[in-house]
Amino acid sequence: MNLLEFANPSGWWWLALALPILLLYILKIRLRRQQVPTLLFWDQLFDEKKPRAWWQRLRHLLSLLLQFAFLALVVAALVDPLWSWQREQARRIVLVVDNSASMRAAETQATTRLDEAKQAAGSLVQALRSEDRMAVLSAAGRPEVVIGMTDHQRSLLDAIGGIPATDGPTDVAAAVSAAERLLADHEHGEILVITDGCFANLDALTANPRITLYGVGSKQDNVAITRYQVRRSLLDAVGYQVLLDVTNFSDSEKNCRVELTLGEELVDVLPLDLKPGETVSRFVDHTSATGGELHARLDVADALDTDNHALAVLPERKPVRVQLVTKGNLFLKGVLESIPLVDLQITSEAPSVAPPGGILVLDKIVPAQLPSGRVVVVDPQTATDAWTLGEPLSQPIVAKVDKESPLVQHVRLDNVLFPGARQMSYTGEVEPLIQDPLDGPLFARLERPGGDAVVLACNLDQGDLPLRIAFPVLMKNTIEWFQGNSGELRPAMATGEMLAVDVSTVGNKSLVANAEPVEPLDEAVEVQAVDGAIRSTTQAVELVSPSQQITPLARTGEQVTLGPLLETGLWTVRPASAAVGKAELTPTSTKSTGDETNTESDILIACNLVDPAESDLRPRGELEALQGRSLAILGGQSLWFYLTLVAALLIASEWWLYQRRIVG
Amino acid sequence: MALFDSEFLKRLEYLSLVSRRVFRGRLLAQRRTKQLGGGIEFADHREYSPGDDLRYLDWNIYARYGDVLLKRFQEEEDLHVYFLIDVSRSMSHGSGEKLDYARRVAAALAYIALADMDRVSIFAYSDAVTEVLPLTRGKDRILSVLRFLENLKPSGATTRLQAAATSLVHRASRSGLVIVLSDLYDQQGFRAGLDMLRYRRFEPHVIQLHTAAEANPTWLGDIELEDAESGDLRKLTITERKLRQYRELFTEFLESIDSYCRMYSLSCTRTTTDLPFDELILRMMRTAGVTT
Repeated sequence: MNLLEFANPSGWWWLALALPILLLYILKIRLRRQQVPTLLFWDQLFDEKKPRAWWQRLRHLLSLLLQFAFLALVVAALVDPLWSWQREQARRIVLVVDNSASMRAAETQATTRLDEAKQAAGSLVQALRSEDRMAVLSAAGRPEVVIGMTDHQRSLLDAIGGIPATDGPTDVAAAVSAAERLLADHEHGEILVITDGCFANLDALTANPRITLYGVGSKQDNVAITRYQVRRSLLDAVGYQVLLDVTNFSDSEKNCRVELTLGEELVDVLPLDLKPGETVSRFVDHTSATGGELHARLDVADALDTDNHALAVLPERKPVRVQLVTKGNLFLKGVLESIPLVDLQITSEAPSVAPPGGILVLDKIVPAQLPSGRVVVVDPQTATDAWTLGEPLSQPIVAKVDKESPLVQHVRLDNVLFPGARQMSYTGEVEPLIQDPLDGPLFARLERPGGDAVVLACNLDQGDLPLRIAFPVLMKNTIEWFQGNSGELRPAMATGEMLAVDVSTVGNKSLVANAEPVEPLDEAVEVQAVDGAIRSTTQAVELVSPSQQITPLARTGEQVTLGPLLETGLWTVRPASAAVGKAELTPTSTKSTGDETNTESDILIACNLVDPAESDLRPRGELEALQGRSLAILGGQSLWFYLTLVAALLIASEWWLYQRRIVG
Repeated sequence: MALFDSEFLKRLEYLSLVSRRVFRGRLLAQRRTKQLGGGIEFADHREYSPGDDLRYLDWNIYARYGDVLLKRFQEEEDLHVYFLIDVSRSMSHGSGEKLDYARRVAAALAYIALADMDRVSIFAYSDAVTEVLPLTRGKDRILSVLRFLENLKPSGATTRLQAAATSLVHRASRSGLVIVLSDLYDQQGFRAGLDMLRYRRFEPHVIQLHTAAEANPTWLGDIELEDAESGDLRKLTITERKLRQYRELFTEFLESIDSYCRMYSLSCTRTTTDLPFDELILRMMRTAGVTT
């Protein structure tokens, strides 16, 4: 076996340069003759020392030898010698770069931990030997392969430089698992993890001999918002409650304050005195019918800014217009007036359509043509195009309740009679919600193209239903069901979480604005996939990140799954534009949407970094310093690298000694 | 281009106009050349001695005070200006710019002297005096002066100012100004020659010429230096350190010329050949205060 092989044997031809060097040397040692007006001064200069002593005659020979040595080293570098063990021990390295939220922490004014990690990764790439291959993974949220196995250092460096900073949680374990799959059973496989160590299962990773963890960043003080949620008040329809946790991840006491703002309005300022490691919880009650973005800002200057602010979306609570057509039903009037945000209007004549965006309640008076739109019918006395009336029911008691339906949620109907109820035959699709023992619908939902209708077959003047708690609850459910989820709070997400979102109302303006027929949103489009195959899929909504990056969402049914979201701020699910709808089916197709605004039917999702593990910028364990490893890897550089270094050193010495006349 | 072309002659005329009695003024010896005797410019009085010419008795003083005093007058006398021009091979080293420069300066000063009705003589020397222009007078003699200067050729294997000075004092009929134009690279030392002139009551003025390359050589490495005069060779290795030492030595040499001239109240002008010769003349005049 040869101990040394040459990657480029043709480089030996460069040795022919020795001849011109020799010729130049011969020319060099020939003395130049220079006429001077007088030798007086030169004789004074050299009278004490005989010029050109014996050893000085050798210095030219030394110069020639240095030049030959330089040439030999350069040629040796060109032929690129490779030790046999280097060829046999070609490594497969997976480099895992932690780009989680904690890596955004500032180490200096200009650099973050991620910058240091990229710099360290660059030095590892430059230390690769010629037979080595490397892949790079990022470890925030879901692990991603930044670049696959390659030995092209330029591509590796470019890929590392392009690793984005995220607000996601660290998931080094998942990244290492992916790295293990990439390496398979390679004999000289290594997993190098560059992280700040701000995650929990550090010890489990260090136990794996295949994994080497390198630490970046120093211990930093940090104060963070570690919980931020908003919910509707149970007592007030336009009220809400804020739950806020702030934790001090430092070894010293911190004094700070939290400002809560709803849009431009200052809601509250909470002064906080935090002991080392202490978590303080605060509740804030407030009311607002207008809604907006509810920001919490922590007034503190620390290393990580991402966790100093949090966001929640407070939807607007719009009053719903309810038109009651009655001859004077005080029960119904009283119940509807008691429901918050109901703008009640009482008439005696039934209109042909429900009020735009509102609800029409018909008490006994029902025209032959059931008005279009959202309609509630109580105790119908006449037949319409939607149903026909039969005989009065003999036993109008409740036998069956569809407890899955939101319309009868929290409604208890034990021993309740529905007097005056009659047998009804519906002409269209009907969903019975409350039924009598003979499966006759006492309370039912009618599906209509022009807007659903809800029918309650009960004479309120005769029974005790209006006196029960169930009646206002039933009416409130009905009104809120017609309103849809408008005004309901969607809990703020933490970065890295997944979320299933009902997108059935996205782009559906009729639900909130008018009663026109709903356009079907599920538009089947042909999408050309990355592999070139044409697939038919449903892609009608898109996800817009806080930095206005657009990702098309392929929806199946009424739900889409989002996440993991790796950026804090306000995410938007909205109808896909035509350009995006025909975009390639890539993981993330992006375009700028800086001038676009949200519409009422868009789904707004607040995303915050409320992760104590990311906010705690104190390393959990001892991590290997990269400097030591760099030197160790330096020993594994290709031989040509060192040869070139020595050659450069030689030529610099030769120039300094001879050109600057240090010798002689 | 000819050494003394029409442009050169125009410059000479200009210099002559701006100068006011250069040599009789304070340019060189810083004092006037005086000879008391028959003249028209009153100098002073002295006691009358029997035998004195009664025409010079100051009768006014006698009438007023009764003192018998004789009037004395300053006699106008022409000045002898000698030029000692170094024509050794060190002056013609390279393109000969030093010798040309020396000849131009000598021509300019000679023109000014002749224009002032002074007498001019030129001695060319290297190891000895090689050529001599006898004393001449009058502005119309400038052409012969120029012709003499133009015909000067480098010669000699050494430079010996002392030999040239000795020759000059022997040949000169009267003492006067001696303008030495040389690089002063004298193997025997320039002091002996100037001392000789001083001892014989001549008034030496030294114009030391050198080139910028002589003051600041830039060669490095192994080199063989050849003396332009003797042809001697030296094989040397010149380093940056040696170059620094050379510059220091050359500066010391120039300072030694200054200090010598200062010690004996001689006027001295040092210049490089980069400076135009008329600039040099004007500078000398400004130093002497004869022009502005």
